[in-house]
Amino acid sequence: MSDILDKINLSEHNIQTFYGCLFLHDFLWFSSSEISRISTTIPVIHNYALTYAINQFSYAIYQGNTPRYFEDLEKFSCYSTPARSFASRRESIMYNAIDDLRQTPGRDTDKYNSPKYGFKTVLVPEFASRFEKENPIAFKFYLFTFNGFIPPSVVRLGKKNIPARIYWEQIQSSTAQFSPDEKSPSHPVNPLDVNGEITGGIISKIPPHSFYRYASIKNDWFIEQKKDKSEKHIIQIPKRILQRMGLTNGS
Amino acid sequence: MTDSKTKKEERMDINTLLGDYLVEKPEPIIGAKTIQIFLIREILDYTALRTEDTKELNTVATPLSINSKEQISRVAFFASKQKAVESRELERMLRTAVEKQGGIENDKLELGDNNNEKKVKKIKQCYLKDKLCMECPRCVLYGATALSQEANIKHRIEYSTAFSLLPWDDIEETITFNAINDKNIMTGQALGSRYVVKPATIFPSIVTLKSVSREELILTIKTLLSAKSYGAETRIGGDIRNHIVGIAAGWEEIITPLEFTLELYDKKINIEDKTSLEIEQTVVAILRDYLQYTANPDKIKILDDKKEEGNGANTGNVQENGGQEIVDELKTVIDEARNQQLGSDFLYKIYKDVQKFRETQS
Repeated sequence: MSDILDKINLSEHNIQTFYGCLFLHDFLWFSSSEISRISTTIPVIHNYALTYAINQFSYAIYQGNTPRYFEDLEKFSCYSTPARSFASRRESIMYNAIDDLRQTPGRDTDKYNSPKYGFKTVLVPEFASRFEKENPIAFKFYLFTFNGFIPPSVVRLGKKNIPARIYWEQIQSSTAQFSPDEKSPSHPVNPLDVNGEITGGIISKIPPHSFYRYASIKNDWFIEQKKDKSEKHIIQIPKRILQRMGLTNGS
Repeated sequence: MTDSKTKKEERMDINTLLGDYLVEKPEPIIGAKTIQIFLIREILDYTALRTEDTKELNTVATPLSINSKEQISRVAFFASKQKAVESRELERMLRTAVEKQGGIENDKLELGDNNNEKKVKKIKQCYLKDKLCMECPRCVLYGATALSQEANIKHRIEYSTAFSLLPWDDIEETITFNAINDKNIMTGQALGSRYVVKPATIFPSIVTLKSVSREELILTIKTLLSAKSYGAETRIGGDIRNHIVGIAAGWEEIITPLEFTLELYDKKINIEDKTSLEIEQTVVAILRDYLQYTANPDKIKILDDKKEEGNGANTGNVQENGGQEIVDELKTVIDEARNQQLGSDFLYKIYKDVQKFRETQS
């Protein structure tokens, strides 16, 4: 089937596409790297973290140490691209957790998995109204929703579940086109989502695996829609979405 | 009291107002049921809100208000500094209530008789941060990490940083301290500065509950009302009173604390002179504005004043106004929580709920 197609109408498969501009409303902390008790957060958000947050899903019971991303993502009502901010600011904060019995942050000999004392580099809160959502501090990304799912506009992110506001805009064009030529999506790209070939890019290192902050991709599916005078949305269709529609290969 | 009044007051309680957003008992799988409790944290004494070695106040740049892009500094009252106090407050309240029922002896507690059935629950010692029992209502609400192979408990209460209503330079004060040596009447090295927030400062704040039971909502409200001491150096300051000024429930959160602060700043004129009812109405109006962003607006309930035709007397949460009865829904919920005794039945139920929760996890 996919051998003869060069256009896909996503709405025929009950898939809608949204453009999201996310603003952190609290100090965001997750550990992109951790050296000598200094944990650092970089201004990118992995698409798995975003998808879990928008689905408002988290585990209360969990056995084992291996994440179940692929099983979980199958069940969710949406799937997101990664997000990046061009102008998010960072700050270092000291933390300590006091032990009630000794009134100290704890002894170094303690082997418990609870924080004692250290520093964390966090992303600071930023506010913009919906009229300023194109502000470079915004984390911009795209979301594919299934069966009419309407995404919430307040979500919780990071190790401390901080609140973030997302302003959504539905992408009117629901037609994806196959492009044998190289294109640069207007969003970061998870390499596991690429159906075609990545010809270049800049990698961000972040758990559970790195993704491309910028990427050039050919032989893949894209939605293109005019954004304003100078810009347009170029959305790479994740492999997961193609599989959902029964398509996995290019033309 | 008339019959109609009695019926009306019977009709309005936590279960009727918020029952659609409560679970019967805490379950490990968290659903979408969300309750946001809107607070005004009012500083009553000089309060040190800091984390750094420099001992300076934590600040953050924000717009002046929802309608002003002017960037100013606000004092940040970190979520962790709110949560730590309130988690410990709940733990103290539970421990005291449990002890009042007979005390803990050999890790066992008798919670009294009910219909000749002896209620006995095993209660373990529990304290932050390295000896969480994972078997008490605090652990199940605030979450706990297992040290062995047991299942962890995910928190169902969410905190967020609160931002001062007024800019940092309007509310900050630097106090010089000195400690006199009685022998030589000298300060020596015991001389320095404290950076504090002045009394009467306001921090709008939100505490969010996910998939909680009626009993957990009651415990949270009791905790928020009874917690009084926050920040560093609480022996000489840090007194705060929490005013609950709104409750909203839904399948999602409606507004963030940063937005709540910026919205309230625009309406700050004479906020000190406003009655609690006027503040509650302001909060309701703000929340209604934010319904436009929600994914499920039909699933949202904002506690408000309910006006009904009636002829009752002015008692409880019902006031008469020109032939109309005004039922203050928020006050109804707060009063029910406040009046709930932490007696043996209540304690037995919440500890039993925790036991079932852990059994489900195992």
